[in-house]
Amino acid sequence: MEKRRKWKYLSLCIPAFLLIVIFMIVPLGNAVKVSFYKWNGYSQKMKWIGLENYGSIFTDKVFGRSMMNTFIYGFGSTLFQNIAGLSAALFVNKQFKGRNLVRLILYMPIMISGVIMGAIQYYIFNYDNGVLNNLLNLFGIGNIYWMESGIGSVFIITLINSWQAMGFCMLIYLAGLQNIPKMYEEAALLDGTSRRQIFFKIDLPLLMPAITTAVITNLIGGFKLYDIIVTLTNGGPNRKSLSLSYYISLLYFNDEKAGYSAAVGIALFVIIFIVAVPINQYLRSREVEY
Amino acid sequence: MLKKKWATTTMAFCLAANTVLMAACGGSASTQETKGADQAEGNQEGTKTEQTGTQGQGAASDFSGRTIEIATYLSGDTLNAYKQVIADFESETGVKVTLDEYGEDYESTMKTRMASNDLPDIFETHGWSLIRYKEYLADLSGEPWASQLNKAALGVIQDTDGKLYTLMTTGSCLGTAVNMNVCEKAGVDPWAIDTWEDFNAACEKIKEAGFTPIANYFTSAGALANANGSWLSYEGAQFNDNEAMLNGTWDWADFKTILDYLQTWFDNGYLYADCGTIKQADAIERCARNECAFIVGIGTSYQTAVTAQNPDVVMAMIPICASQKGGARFCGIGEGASFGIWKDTKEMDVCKAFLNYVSENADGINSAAGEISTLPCQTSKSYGMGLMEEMESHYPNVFYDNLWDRKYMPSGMWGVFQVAAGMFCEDQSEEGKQEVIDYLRENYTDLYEASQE
Repeated sequence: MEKRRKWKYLSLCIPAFLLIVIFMIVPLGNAVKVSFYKWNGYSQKMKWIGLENYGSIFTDKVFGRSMMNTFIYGFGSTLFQNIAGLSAALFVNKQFKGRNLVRLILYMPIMISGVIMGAIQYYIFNYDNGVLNNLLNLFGIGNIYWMESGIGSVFIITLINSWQAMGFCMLIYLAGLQNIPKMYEEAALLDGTSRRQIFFKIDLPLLMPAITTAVITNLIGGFKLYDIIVTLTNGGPNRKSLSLSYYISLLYFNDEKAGYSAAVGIALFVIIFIVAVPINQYLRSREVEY
Repeated sequence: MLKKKWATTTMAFCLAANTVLMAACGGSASTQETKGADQAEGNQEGTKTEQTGTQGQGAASDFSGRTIEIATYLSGDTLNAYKQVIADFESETGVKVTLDEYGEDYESTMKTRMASNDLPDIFETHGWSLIRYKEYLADLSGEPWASQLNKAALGVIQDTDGKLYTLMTTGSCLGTAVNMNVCEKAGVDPWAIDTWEDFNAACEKIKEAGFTPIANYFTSAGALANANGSWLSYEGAQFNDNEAMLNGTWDWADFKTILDYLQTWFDNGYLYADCGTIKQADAIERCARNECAFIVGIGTSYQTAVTAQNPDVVMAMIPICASQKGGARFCGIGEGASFGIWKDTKEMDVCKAFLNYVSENADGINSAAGEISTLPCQTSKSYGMGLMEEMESHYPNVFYDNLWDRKYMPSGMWGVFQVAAGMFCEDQSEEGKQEVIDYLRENYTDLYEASQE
């Protein structure tokens, strides 16, 4: 009977399993296969070149720069989003008039797609006639070329992505805060603990599941950042603000190097795996129950 | 109890199966919705386009119940004009047309479909009918409209063996766009510009008058690719590297001359400070505000867009400059709205009937595109045609050729030039220029070898 029930439940997983196989496992296998070929992405002919594409990764300066950018987008965005998201959650967790409106306003940016957000920000940071420069001109400050350098562009992209996704973090932390039983805080207050100590000794440890979810989600989202970069900087100047995701797309569709693009895609997969799994393990090990 | 378990199990299974079905069906449902919306939009918007010919000329046979799929990258008024032609064809023949509007993703999507050998019945070739899409296209040289295409079109789409693979309804004429208002205020006569030396002298006057001489942006390959024939390929050019370029032996050493010239634009302050990050939309906007004078190597759709933003701006076109006195003044001709038929389509007769219909009703498309006419049915003079004729009145010996990178470079080089433009914009030192040349050479060799396989 137990075995029968087990098979019954397993059979309900078949549709989800099929979706994972069709939309994740098969494309991944195909990408691995293509990475061993020289192919322009549309011809019916492919040429076997073995590990040559993987070897090119180590000599490709653009790959190196894109990987650095990807780490900045991943870790930088995660840091800003979680600090801002937690701060916002602590703020909107209190009772005050207009709390729901504030929550809505803080959450709204995430409802805009990344492509649209990049396009909007392009007209804010534009050198000539951009909103920000027009505001500075009112104070007698000349135009600033915000996206002149790769560093500047990467910083701006990280900030915009952090601001946009902060609302998502806020929701996760808000749910986490509201799940903490009030009795711990009340007991601590009775014992004469300060608010600061309550936050670091009680709230934060009990928020670890929420922190794990937020950090891992933000990290993977940051590593895969694509849409904002397309419309804001198009990877420029001179491909210096590219993320690995966008570089993969450019290699395939622009440069007609589908085999090399697949190899870079596998490299990104490995990088995300190597980074995300240990962080996930570490954060889960820090979860506590009182 | 058992009944309850069965009910729960059945419900759970149905929910899971429904999830799979909805994921699978979501695509086709939206395609049909798009098709329906397109048809409605086409019928409503069609009245806005200029059509001097009788609507619905050249009605084809009855193909009731047949369906064809068409993919396009057109947008705006040109797309609306095309949809009107499609709607008229549908009403006359009973054919159902599914129109895929891929927009800016057109090239990427088509490459993916080519890889899986699953192409639409009809698709736009956007300048690549001979170099990229030929192996997937049907030969259309026997069609009635093929003999009616003018020389500007045939020079671009006809293969060396006389075959052609696309119906070119409009052509893109690429030269140097001129803002006549700015030139007038700066005291510059653009029609007197012959060589790049004359061009720089004009830029100097424009700069002294307080305008930005050149609006070229280095986020596009055009800055580095479109004018190259002036130095490398045409009559009276400084070099003649055509044969080496076409047989894959070109060493790119002569390209340094072009980079040295382009460096003068940076050194003399002829460009916008943010030319390394702006896009075409920014250049159009600034030209419409009468802030800049020239943009080198651009099609007539640019002038159309500028005048659409500000009808008071007077735009013109001059041919690409000669690299030395006596050299040919040329304009590049590219495929505008051009449609080919997938050679493995199951609806070849319907597709050919559709192209015949388009060839006889292309006036609206031509007017909306603002490009140059290629077929005799196009009786209304488009804005682009007007620019071209005005240019020819000042330069009767202007020479027309296919777009330089499409004729002399392997497929994929446009993307390489785009990267190289960014590299050059950032660093115009001798080392920077050598890096650009090395990058172009390496990719050219790679792509040429791939094209020969």
